[in-house]
Amino acid sequence: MRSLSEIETAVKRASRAVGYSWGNSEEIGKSIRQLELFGFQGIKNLNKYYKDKSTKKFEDLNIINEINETSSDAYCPIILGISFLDQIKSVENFKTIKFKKIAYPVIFLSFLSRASEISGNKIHVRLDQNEILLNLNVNICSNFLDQDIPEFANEIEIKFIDNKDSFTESEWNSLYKLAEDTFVEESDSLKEGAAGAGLTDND
Amino acid sequence: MMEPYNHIIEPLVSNMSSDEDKYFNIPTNRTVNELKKIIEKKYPNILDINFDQKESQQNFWFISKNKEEPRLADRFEEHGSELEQPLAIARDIKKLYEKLFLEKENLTIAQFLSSNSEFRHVIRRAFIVEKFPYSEIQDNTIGKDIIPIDMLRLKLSFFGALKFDPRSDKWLRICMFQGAPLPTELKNYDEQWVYKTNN
Repeated sequence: MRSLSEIETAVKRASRAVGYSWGNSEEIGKSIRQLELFGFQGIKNLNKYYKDKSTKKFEDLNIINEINETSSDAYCPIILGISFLDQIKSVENFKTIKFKKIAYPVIFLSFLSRASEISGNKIHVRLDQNEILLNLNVNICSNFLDQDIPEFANEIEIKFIDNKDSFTESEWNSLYKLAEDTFVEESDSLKEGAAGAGLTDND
Repeated sequence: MMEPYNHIIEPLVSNMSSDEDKYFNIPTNRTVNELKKIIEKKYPNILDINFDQKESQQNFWFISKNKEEPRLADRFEEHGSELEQPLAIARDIKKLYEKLFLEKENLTIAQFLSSNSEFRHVIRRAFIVEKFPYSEIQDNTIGKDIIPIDMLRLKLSFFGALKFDPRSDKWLRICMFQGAPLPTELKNYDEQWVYKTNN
């Protein structure tokens, strides 16, 4: 089995060989490594994309708006992904970001996953009928259980999810009450003598 | 040598590596002006190099197809410089610096990168050097006078190389742990042996 480090280096060099700048190639290497770590077919899709690049026309989107439509075959998932990473501080202010036609969207997902970590927010992605949750670059959840992510997505919608607790205040209080059972009630002598103790409640 | 002193070396293990991924992402919300300041502070000698002179960019680094290792060759004598590795940091930093001067100071790095992706690798390095001053060799690694074994010796000394036997100015043989006590000698040996070996 190939190590993640081997994958990153080989992807970086291959990407340079097909014409990306060294800096962009480094980004691609890092992202495909992350995809493989999460169990997605990064190498397989990148190979196919690089073969398709020689025959099809993909648009490089450098500035991301709320609604993005291409007149070419599809957006290049790599330049789109890098632009998204770079512009994360501005695009995270958009309520929803929509794209029409992205080639090999799984490659784009790898950049979105990293963007989720930089932003500090989970990202929800809808790829046509399928849904994906990118969780701070820790994992990727999707309903693609028994199927590969398609090589082309027609409608893509991205939303940043506000950070909020997954539980109610009463559920938290209930659990915290149990946790309090590990505390010791301080006697007067403990208040005076225990390490870190003080004579007033503010100490 | 180290195993008997586990209690000393264990706490140091975490200092032998760094979490590089943590600093991989370029802080694209920072400005062109900030990047210029970093370059002026961290690469002052490099900015004085004139890369229009042939000898300042005499060499190039490439990956050997035969051995898959980095190699150095004369740019004007050998073929292959179009496949140059991104290791001409001094030249690329200077190019970046000159380009930054043509841009508005408050432009964000994200805006700058949207039309200048060829500088991405050096922009990343400049922001890493800001945090870690020893993260790379801040010299002209493609100049006529570059002596690769200087860099090799520095790196190999971290691995524990004690004796260096230069075979040319491009490669050398090393010896590791020469004179180190054998397992049977560990009960009674000179703790200073490593320094005496170098004499």
